[in-house]
Amino acid sequence: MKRRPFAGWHGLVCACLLALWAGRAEAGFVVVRNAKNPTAKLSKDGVKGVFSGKTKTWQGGETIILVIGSEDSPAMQWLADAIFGVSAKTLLSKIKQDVFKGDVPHPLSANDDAGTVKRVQSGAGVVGLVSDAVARSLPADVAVIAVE
Amino acid sequence: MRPGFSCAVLASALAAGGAARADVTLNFFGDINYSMQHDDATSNTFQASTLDVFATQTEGKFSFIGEMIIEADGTNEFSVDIDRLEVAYKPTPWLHFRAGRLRSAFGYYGDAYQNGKYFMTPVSWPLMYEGNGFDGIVPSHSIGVHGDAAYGLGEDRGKLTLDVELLNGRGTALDSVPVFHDDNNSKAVNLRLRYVGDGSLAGLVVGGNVYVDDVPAETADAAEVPDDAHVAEHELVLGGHAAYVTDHVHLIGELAWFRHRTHDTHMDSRTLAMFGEAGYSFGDVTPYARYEYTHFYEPDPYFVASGIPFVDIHLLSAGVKYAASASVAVKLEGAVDLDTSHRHVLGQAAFAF
Repeated sequence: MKRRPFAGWHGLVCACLLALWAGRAEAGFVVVRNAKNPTAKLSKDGVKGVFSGKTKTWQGGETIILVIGSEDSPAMQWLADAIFGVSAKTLLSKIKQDVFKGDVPHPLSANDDAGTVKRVQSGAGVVGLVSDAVARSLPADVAVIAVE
Repeated sequence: MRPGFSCAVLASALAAGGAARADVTLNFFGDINYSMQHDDATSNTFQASTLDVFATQTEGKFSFIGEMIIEADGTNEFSVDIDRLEVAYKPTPWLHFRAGRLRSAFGYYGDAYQNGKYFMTPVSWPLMYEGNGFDGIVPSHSIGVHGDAAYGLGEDRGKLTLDVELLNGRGTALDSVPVFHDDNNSKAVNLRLRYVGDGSLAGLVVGGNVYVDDVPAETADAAEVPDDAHVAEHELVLGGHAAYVTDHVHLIGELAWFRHRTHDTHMDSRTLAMFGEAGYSFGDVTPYARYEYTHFYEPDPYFVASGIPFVDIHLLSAGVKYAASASVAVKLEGAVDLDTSHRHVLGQAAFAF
């Protein structure tokens, strides 16, 4: 009987951690493009192709240029985990290697949503990730790519 | 001109684009080592001998790569080398042209890892590509034009790729790359055909090379010919490679067969070089092993004059790579030459910023 208060606290902490974890899992990101790029939707494999460098140009022939964050940026971690199923470290290393080989253009860097939006505005082939919240109020020259 | 001054000038030249175009970024690659070697006696040393400065820029279908290496290659003196200077044009997703100083499309290792030891699993290239302070016997660098085309085999079925190169080819020695003046008028031709897997075979690359060149005589001026100089030779190199590299599995095998035929006496010198390496990643830690074998059927005047001894190589190495971050990898490797008592342990921090 004396252990009940501790068990209660323990349960409360677990519930809080679970809620935090659930909140984190739900905090997603969306793929955004320059509005001049007509690609409105992609499959998950299509997104993987774009961010892995396997797909190098959009359907209109425009060269794909990625906007990526650092290893610990939430968008990079989401991309690595939700799309590729690897760590952000592994994904970034792969991107760096492809750039070094000359297979893909050097990505643009941005560690927050505002920076990503600005980068995407800078060229027709630029693609990046922003949080759900920011995706609801994008400027006119940036649009969402729906992931099917 | 002092190397330090050259570095500053060249780095400024590369960075000048950065001032004009915000998207040009300089990347830095290199490695810091602690090396212990044992022959009859044991020696040890710290090494910080390589800095690789890399810049690239893409504008539409054109792109540029500039890579400058500041390196103390087997000595305590730094020198500057432009390792890559390429302009590329990609008119379609399946066709790609490059011109300039480039890594030859030979085998797997050369253009898969370039100079990025951070990306390699072991601490360095196989000896057939590059050794500690000397160039390997594979023709991995040259100046010329390159074209490659890809033919898709269907959704998730991979593609066939063909690389065709016309190059200045070999210089008078392995470490001599004719960047301005080719020592003979004949050009090297390099062909590489590959299957690149996708879907369930993603990560698989299987291919082969045919490389033909004329190696110039060591010097055209008879008064300066050293005793061990080589004469002009025709070169034929046949190569094969297979790699299966995924997020966890690392398997690479390559072989190259060389035949040098002297122009005057038609005497042949043949060499066979091969290696195989395997690793498996457990999270950020990748244990690995590599075996290398080189057999000289006859003494090769060109290789010998370039400082490659007429001695077969049986080298076994094993180690572990720890990916500390997306920019730094720490490795520890031990190697033993199975024919001699030579042993080598090397700790390395390789970086890619």
